[in-house]
Amino acid sequence: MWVRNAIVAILLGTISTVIIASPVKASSTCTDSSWYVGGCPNIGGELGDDEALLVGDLDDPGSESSGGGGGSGNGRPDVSGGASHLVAPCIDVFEGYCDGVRPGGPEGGGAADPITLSDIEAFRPTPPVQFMQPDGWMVVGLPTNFYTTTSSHTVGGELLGLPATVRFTPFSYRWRYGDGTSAVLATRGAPWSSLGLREFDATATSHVYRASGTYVIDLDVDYTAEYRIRDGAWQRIPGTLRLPANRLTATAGDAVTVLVDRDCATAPSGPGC
Amino acid sequence: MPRRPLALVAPLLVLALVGCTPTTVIPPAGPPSEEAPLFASDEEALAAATEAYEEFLAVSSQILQDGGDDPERARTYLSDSVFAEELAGYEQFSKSGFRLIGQSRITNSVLQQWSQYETKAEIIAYFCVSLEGTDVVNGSGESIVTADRPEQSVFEIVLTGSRSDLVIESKQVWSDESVCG
Repeated sequence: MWVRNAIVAILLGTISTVIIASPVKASSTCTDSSWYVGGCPNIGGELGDDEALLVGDLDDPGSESSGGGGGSGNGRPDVSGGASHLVAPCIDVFEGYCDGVRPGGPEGGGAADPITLSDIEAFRPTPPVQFMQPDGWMVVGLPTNFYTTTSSHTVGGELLGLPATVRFTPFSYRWRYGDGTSAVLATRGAPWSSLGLREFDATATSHVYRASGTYVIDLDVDYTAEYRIRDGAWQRIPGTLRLPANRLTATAGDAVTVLVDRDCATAPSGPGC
Repeated sequence: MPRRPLALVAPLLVLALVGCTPTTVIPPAGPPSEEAPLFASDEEALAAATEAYEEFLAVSSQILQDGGDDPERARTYLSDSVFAEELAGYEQFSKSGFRLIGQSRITNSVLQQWSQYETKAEIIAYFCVSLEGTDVVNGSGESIVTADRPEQSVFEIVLTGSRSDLVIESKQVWSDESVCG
């Protein structure tokens, strides 16, 4: 065992011994204080068409008569009567439940069955935006550079009154160039200037049109999503999201080289311009 | 110079080597290129993790038994981010006048893995922790514990640091309770 570990250590600079590696699911962070009172919030994530949903539920330990100490019910959000859905987010929370709020309970009511607070929150990623160079036109036979600026970003929100964050990370870019061809790329591309290239140089995301005409270019970006509560560890949300970028319409024309008298930009009416 | 047949040279070399063997002094091995392992066995790593986590649980329970007073006592056992989370809970205990009675206890533990980089170790282990016999009361002495509070939970604990100075880096509830047996 030690010999094997030593070899691993030499190779990787670490010593590692794995005992079990069964994939079990972590549900959420949990502080000692909230755990002693009512267990820990059960939080999970899922992906919809264009958004990530975080769903959480927690047994409500408080009651207006037993909130005690500094817990006053003034100004607290109301909760739907008798139902398990939390209509308004908790404002004054104690690690996952609204201190003093009694969901659906009558004012000053007596003993009640345990009630589960449930909350659902949607997190929408920023839609991707695509660009092209040259902007709005291309030259037949020369590379047109397409790119998007979308990158990993976070969206903040609140779940069960707790700060929640979802991080969206793009990993696949699907371009449809409008000429019957398409490409699925692992890079988002970049402007020629950022790449240190000259105009009409080929890039990892460039495309060459073979015929003149007007083309519609679409881009879909695939994202993975993770969430975390407070500053806890990131938890992966199963599945992926696909978001469309803005549509580009551009015209491809033939390039003709002509001899001109002087720079057409300064003398547009000059011979040859 | 005439060339010696290879078939003759090879046995000579072997004989020469054999002849040297009894008197050849093997030089002592140099110091290993990697750090010595912090733990001699997986059991040792798990024991260290258990001890560190037990210490935290004891201090955390004491803070909650004291109504959230002096929460700084827990700082040395936790990373900054985990302490910030726990601190919010301690402060709420204090603000609400809650008080813990009793203390949780570890009923089982399972090592997931441990690794070492230079002189720092990282240990990940699962702990089944029981809340049996504990209660939380408000300022009037009434219990605020939910009726269906689970009496035991599994935590995945990540600890890092030197052998005698392990700090809890992460503390997650684990949905798989097979650790509790």
